[in-house]
Amino acid sequence: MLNGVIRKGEYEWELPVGFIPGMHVPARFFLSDELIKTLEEGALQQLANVATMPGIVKSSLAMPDIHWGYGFPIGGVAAFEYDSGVISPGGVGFDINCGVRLLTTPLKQSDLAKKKEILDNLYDAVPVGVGTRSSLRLSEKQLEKLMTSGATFAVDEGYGNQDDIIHCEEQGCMKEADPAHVSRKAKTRGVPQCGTLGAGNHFLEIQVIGEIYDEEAAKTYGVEKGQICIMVHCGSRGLGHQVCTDHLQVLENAVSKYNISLPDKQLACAPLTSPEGKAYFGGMAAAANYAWANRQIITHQIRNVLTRMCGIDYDDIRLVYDVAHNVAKIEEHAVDGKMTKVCVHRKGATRAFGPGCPDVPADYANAGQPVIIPGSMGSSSYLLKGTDIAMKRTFGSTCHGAGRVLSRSQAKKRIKGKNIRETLGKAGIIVKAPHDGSIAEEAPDAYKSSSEVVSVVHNLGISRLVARLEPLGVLKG
Amino acid sequence: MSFEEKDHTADILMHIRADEPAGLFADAGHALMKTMYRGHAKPVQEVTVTVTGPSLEHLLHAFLSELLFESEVRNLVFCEFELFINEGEIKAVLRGEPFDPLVHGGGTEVKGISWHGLSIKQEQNELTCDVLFDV
Repeated sequence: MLNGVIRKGEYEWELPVGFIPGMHVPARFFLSDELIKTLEEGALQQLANVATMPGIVKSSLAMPDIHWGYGFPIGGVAAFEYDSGVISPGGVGFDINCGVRLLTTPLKQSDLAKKKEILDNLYDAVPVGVGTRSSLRLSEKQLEKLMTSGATFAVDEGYGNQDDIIHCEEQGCMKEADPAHVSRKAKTRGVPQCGTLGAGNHFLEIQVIGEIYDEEAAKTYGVEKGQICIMVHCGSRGLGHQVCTDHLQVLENAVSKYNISLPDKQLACAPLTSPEGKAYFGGMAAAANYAWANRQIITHQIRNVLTRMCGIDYDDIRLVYDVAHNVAKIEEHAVDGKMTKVCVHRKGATRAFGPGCPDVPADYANAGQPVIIPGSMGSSSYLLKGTDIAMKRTFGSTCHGAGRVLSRSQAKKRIKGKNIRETLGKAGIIVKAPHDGSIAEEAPDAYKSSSEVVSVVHNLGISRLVARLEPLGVLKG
Repeated sequence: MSFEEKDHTADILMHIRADEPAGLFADAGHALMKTMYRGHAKPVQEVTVTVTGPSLEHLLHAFLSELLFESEVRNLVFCEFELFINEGEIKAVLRGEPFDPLVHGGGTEVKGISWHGLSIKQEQNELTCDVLFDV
């Protein structure tokens, strides 16, 4: 499988131009000797396919959590010149702005004597799983406003505070959002689901900071050893899924309209400046804003539970940061020594802007942007910081999680949800889910080691470790 | 019903077999519902949908996308599919019952129907198709 692959360093591998016909740039991926054993041939092919797309600059990249996805591999990053490049839903994914946020609390582990009751209350407050609906009833006008202003809409409606907005990537709102490019169907799916977690690998986790690796950055981010935190992982729900489905149909036709030659239909795309490209970008940005509002409303629900049950103040539950890991954004990056306007696609990859970069909150300017990497269920999650190296080498990007190694069906055959629940219970981790089957699908053994993935990005320098978080209680959809 | 789940690392890949297109589409519908919901449903409510497309693959993609949409927005778990296929169009009567978390809860959320490997093949006396659900 690695025939033609050139090893460029301890963690860096290259597929040179010519690895497959039509590549405009090389492809690079980052894996340790341990992780390369899990690399799928299909993912490698997808990484090379991306390098054939019009207007791609520098290289097609994949982070160490690379695995086979739709169009782009999961873990894929690619930037396209604004004037001559394309935009593709295959480089974003169905769950637009699937992302993760980290909240800190003033609580310690000794304050969690009623951990099970807290988890039960969170389960009641945050709808999880397939078929559940939000208690929130958005009007059509409210939904339009939500898609235009993202997290700000939620805060303006009383679901948070101004600090929350500052501590979101893009301040929780892509200004390019255009709800006119979100279909009636997408809006219909979006109304009852705003403020819900969903299912699959989405979760809400009570965690404790187990270790600090970078005292200075940890202080800047307001985290300390022994502190209780909450991590939330979810996205744009049915609204975002429908935006992807709707625009894929349009972009499939755009491929022939604009004479774009692609090695894979899943890379359906359109020039960024074309009506079809602009329409997808506007709809995608609206869905991204929905996701930020969704996580903000869930944050409010969490705060209500914790203030009621733990006697702490609403504003003492602080948002460290909120990152997107399925999105395309217009950014400026150095290409051939010149700052160039590009559209960066991050598909299962996290933005990791370094110190002093635009959009890093002023209070974090010296440390760089916080990067939140969720672990698989029952395993460690990590807080990292963005770096200048990421700006130079990966368009300011890093990994997004652990990456699957077992299919869901294999996981269900090999692993019993009840056993996992009991094993984790013995380790002091409570798991609450609508069904044991969904626990088995997302079992820790179904994923790469998050520690190994994170150690690769740390050693490469495309993000640096700040803290490790250990799970105490998990809500799964 | 004739469908089976095949291994796929990231998503859910279903292999469907049937004698004729209506059966293939119905089994693909059952595969989608089986992925999203647990337990059984009764055919107590019905919804009629019509989709169009230039090929059988486009029709199957459109039918499953519509089924996903109808199930999600109406909160219905479908268990019967009556299909009328004409050139470039499918009219489908979907029958099922309201979602009950105690009966149907705990399934996998399907985000969309993937085009990956979506190709309907004639193999001896039957039609086969692989459909990937993005989850």
